[in-house]
Amino acid sequence: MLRETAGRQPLVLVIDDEPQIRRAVESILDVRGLRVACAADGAEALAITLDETPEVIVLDLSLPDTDGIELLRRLRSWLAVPVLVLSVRADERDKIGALEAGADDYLTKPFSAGELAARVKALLRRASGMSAAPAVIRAGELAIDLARRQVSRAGEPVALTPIEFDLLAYLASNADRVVTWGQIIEHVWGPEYAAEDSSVLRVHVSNLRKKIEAHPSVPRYILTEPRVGFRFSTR
Amino acid sequence: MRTERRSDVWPGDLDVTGQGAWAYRHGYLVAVLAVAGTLAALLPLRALVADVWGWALLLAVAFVGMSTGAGPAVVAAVLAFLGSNLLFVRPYYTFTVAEPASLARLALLLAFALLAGMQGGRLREDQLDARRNEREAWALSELGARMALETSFPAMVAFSTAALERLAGVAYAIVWLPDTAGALAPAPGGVPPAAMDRTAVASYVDWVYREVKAVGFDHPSDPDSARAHGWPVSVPRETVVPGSPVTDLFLPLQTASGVEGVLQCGMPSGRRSPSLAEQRLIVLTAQMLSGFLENRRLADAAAQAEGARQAERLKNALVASVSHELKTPLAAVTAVVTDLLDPAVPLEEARTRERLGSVEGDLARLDASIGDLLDTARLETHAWRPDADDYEVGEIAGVVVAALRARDRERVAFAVPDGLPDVHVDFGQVARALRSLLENALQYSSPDREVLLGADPAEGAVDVWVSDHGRGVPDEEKQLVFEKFFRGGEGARSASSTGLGLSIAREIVLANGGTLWVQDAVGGGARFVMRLPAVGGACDAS
Repeated sequence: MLRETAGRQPLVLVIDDEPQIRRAVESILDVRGLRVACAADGAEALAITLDETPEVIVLDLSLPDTDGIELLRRLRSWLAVPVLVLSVRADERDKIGALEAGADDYLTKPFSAGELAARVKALLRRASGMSAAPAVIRAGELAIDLARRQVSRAGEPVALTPIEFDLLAYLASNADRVVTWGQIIEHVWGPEYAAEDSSVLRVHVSNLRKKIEAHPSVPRYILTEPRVGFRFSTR
Repeated sequence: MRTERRSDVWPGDLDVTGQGAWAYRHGYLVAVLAVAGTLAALLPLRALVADVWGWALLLAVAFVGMSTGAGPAVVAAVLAFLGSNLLFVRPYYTFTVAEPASLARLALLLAFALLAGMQGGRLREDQLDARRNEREAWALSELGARMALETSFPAMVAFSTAALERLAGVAYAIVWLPDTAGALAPAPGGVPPAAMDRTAVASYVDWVYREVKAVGFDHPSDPDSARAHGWPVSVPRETVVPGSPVTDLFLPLQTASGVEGVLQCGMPSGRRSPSLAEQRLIVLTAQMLSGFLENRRLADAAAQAEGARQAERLKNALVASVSHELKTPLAAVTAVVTDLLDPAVPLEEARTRERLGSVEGDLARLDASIGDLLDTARLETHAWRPDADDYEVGEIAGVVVAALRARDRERVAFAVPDGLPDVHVDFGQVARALRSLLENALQYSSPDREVLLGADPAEGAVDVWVSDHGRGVPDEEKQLVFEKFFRGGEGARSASSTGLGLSIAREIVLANGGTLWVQDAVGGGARFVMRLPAVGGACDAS
């Protein structure tokens, strides 16, 4: 069931078996000018995607007819649409499983309306090919000028190696979102390095933290997502 | 303790070693050989020894008695009498006695030989009795000591079985215990023989358990005294199951408070029933086993009662906490929302937003309480196993601090040095524990005071600590503060509104191979310290 609010608005497919959550998510996105299609289970979701390809999928991991991660794999096999996973499960293994199956972001219930909308919009921007980030990304005392390839902390310039800058720029462009080791390596070093293990990456992140963090031993910008990757926090 | 003559002692089980053992087992052969040997040795000297052959034969008979027993000694005496008649009394090689003096000598020889042999045999048996009594006393005292110290029932059964095999000639012993449904089954520790007919045996076991009577035991000569010493009322096997091939002995494991089970003893194949002495050992062992079983049952019951009391206390605390911590925010939210929905009250935007802000706060509190309860349940049911990997302490701390509210985050200062070894823990779990400690510290020190998050290297470990400037934790509460739902006196702590936060933290740290404690912080306040295992170093969890 499609709800047409405006003809050219991007379509968000919400897959959740709980009517209250569907209603809440639909209301949050609808009021922010997005078109929303809702599916209560995997079969309905597949039927809708055959009808019209959504721009973003919001997927709950616990579904009545199929495992959410399994559905995610099936969708991923023929759709390149970004997927935001919702789950009540705070378990790390679910998060890792979803990200490995191709989820682009992960949000644990309960979540706030603003957080959900921001994540969906970030995914839409990425999907539309536009840079998710402005030319200068600011977080706390940090300013990252993507065009000039300059970084400053509290107004003081920070000297980074090219790899460190690429790493920081990629993390900051995906601010407040988990980026996996594989994604970072592929983006910073190139696809041919995708199979490299994460230890080299960890060394670079460690060096980067020493340069940009106020307390390098307790980072606040580049946060570790155990067993998955890193998250650049702007909070 | 009654002692009876051991003329019916089965020889095979006695610890008579070496030459004596052989002689004892082959008593009659020894008698024949000893007499024949003496006669053969004397024969060439018949002319020389004249009339002294009798002394040598007397010695031989006495030797037989002392090394084998009274029975063979009597045989030896008779053989000596006949042999000397045949070989040393004229006319030789006939049983005819020519001289009356020889006849008298022969008669005296027989009489003295019988006396010497029987006396020797009695000495032998007394010696064996003494040795057996000593061994029994040792075995029983060892069994008693075991019973006092041993906590494992299988070990106790195995030990008793071994003692019965060694001392009572039992091939195997099985303890049958009732399960919760009352059905009897062999307890671990005894090994039933493969060939045992379980069905046939079970009917005996059930009967013995039901009737509280033994099967296959003899009746001692003084039944009243024996009964007073715990000798069982016993019936023949045919009374229970006529025509059954079962030859085992069955004994109820009886105590003052009832029947704990049944002891089954099987004799080696081809062996006759155990002697009265052996039966007495079986009865004594059974009495000790019964006492052990009764003690264990009473201890279990006491532990269960204590566990039930503890569970009841926790359940009450849980119900109180759940109803308070879940119902209070729910009540507040319901009040606000129904008020906003009331058509009689006009919606004012500023007021509506303010009130919805309080709803958001209540919901956050509700979410935290539910999280505490879920984590407690997951830890209690061991459904939350650590998945350890190597991490920097700061990585974990960074994630925890980043998740705090902005105004809390501002209050956290750091004392985490560079170059700490990595810790080997479950990231998510330790982050959860550290969050509890931080929230606890933030809650119990005044809002304008900072909270210090630090780490120090320790022996094979890293100490991660959180210090506050609150009132501290009095010494008598330093352990209690980690108990579920603990709420101390004035100024006391509980890590979260549910009173579960610190207990969750402790469970997590323990599950990750570390320890968690609280000490006084320098300059007042409390310092909670998590000692976490470092990579490549065993955490000293003492």
